[in-house]
Amino acid sequence: VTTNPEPDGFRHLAFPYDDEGRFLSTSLAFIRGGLSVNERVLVMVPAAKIDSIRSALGDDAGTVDYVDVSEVGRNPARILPEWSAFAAEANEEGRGLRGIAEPMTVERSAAALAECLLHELLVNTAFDSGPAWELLCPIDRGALGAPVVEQHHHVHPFVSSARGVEPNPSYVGDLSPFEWLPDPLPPPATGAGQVEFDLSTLSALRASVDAFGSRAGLSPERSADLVLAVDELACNSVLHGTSGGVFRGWRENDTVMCEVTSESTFTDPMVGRRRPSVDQHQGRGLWVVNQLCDLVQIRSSDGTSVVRVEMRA
Amino acid sequence: LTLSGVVDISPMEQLPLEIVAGDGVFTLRGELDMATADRLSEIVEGTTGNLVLDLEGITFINSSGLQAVLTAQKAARARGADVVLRRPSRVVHRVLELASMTETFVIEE
Repeated sequence: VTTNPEPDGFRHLAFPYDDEGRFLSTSLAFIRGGLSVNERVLVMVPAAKIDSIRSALGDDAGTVDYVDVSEVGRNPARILPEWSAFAAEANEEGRGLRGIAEPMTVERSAAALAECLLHELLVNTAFDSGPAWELLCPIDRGALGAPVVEQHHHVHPFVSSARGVEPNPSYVGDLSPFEWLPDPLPPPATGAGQVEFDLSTLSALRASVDAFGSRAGLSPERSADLVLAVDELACNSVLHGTSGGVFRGWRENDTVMCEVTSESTFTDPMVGRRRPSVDQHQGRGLWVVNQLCDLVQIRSSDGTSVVRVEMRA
Repeated sequence: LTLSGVVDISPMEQLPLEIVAGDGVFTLRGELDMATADRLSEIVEGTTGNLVLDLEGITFINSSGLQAVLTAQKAARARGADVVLRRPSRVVHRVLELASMTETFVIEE
């Protein structure tokens, strides 16, 4: 990769590739470019790719940080705080940084890929006004298919290709995820259970969700996690909505699906993606939900919000 | 898998949070959530020294519950005292961890 020797800000680069050889050679050049100027380097890709990068780096492998993105980033909303923490750490050390991130893999469901795209969009929001660094985002063009690769392209302000790094003329800009992804969620399954709630029925709602979670095949521990997640969403509805909302629950294959709908509006695009400070008073609810669930989807428009969560049975 | 049969969730009769005072310790049993969090501020008002909360019997807590404890801590610290969480139950530990609050409170096991 030929990069601008003096980047004047954060550069979020799409890197579509067609074969593993090109993935590896570009990644290695990018990593070595960082190591040569004493930058911190974090590689957040699937485990198999970590292995191939490590062995190709040889003696330098130990000077790079690695995170298995399919583990840490199972819920894509948990990825951004990892980058924030890494950037803060490097800044504290007074070192530059760079990273490689490949959360969008063929194993992901369509819903999870949509959330990965929202995450990529928020990366720009999170880092655009901060110090200069580069995040290279590979995507397997052959495995993922043209529509997904094209969307991935749209959320990156820069593109890395054989020609080098270029600004991306089709970048969508600094949009909030509530503006950019207009597609509504597919409707809940027919026969989904439904419960209306308000402040006075939160305890009963939790009992209903616990019974639902067990019947849907969750272990007692995971069912308790689901209860907590739904409760946090219900509390948000009571706090920010017209006083209550509607819970729906159903199952799709091996996944337990729940959603909470209320008459409310999400305004903070980064909600649930900033690690709360030790004594912060509010704004922990969605952070907790993001830690608990395998996928979290927030949609908010026309005064109605829905948060859908997934938990694997 | 549906929730049919459990759609009627009229408010339950039992008190979801029980607070027992004794020997300078408040023992909390049941659910500390958004609906019951206000009851914590009531006991904070009448306390002068440290506010010791025995949380062994807490069966449910969420971020609203922890927020209420944080408010109590702020009030206690303003008068030179503190909040002490005694023997937090497993669910309390779990939510403290999830909410990134493991360093927030003085904990006594």
